Amino acid sequence: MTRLARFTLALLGALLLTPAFAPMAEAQNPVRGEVLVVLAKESAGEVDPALQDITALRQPPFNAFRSLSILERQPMRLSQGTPQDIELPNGRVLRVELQRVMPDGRFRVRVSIKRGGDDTAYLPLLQVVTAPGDPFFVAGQAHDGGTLVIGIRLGT
Amino acid sequence: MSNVEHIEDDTLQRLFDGEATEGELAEFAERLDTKLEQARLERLGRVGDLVRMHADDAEATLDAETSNALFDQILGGVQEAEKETPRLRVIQGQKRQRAGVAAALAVAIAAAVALAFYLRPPATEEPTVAETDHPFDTSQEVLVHDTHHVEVHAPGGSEVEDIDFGGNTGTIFQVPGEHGQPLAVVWIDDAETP
Repeated sequence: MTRLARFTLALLGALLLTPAFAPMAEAQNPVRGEVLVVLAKESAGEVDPALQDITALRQPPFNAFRSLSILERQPMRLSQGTPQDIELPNGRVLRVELQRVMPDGRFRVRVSIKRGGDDTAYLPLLQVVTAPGDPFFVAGQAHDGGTLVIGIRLGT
Repeated sequence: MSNVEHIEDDTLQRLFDGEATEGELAEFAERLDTKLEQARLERLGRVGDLVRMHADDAEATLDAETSNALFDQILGGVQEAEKETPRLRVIQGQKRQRAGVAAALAVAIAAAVALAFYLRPPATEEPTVAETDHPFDTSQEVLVHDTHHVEVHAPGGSEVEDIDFGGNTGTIFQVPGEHGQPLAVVWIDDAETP
């Protein structure tokens, strides 16, 4: 390795270690996330203990559901520009893509849902900006006598 | 020439008036040593003849009192002119002096004003109610070095930037999170069966 190449590598490393370039460095590393698929029913039933700590599910209109059960819990490792597909219990496919890490540390996420049969878009576009660890929800799809509530969270 | 200049006025007067004695005429002729002085003397003689002719005419028309009065007026005018000339000079000198005094006075006044401005005592304003009630000494500046780091956190929660429901309809709203942060919720009005 020439001296010039070593100097260039050292300079790049120093830049990536500075706070101004921290989001850029984070964007290069995969961001951990999680997709939680919950079946909510208005009929009497149990609430999964893992969901009892989720404050949002105790707020209207979610508090109208008396039964909450986890159908799927899918961890993710999202890299910028590389979407991840998750098959939903109703046969549709949820696609989550990390678009960028904002300068303030938040994530810009693009979400879409495709129909399982003809691969057309059920939900063509949902673009969300979310803070690390704070979820957002996509709800309303009918399934098995209840409603699917999908919670998506990136970062910790 | 220099000898001629030293001849007394009375002698010259008698010479031109023809009243000089024979001795004075002889002495004066000896002292004329150049042609230029002789020419000058001749011109003076002609002027004297003209004056005498005019005096003879004036004597023929004016009486003795009028002539004396006229002569006194001429003498008075000459004396007045001699007095006015130095007076004019004095007035010019006084004008310059007055202008200088005015400039010096203006500079002195400006200096006095500047000195009074810089040497004036500090203004003692009546303290306001808020100042009198203030429990701390606000006249002293205190520098506080904060050694604690300020951490700036990203805005919490989540929010929808863009959405396309496609063939469905839907609603976007927010619910409070664990720390009260707004969490985005997209609710799809699902009318189709997958």
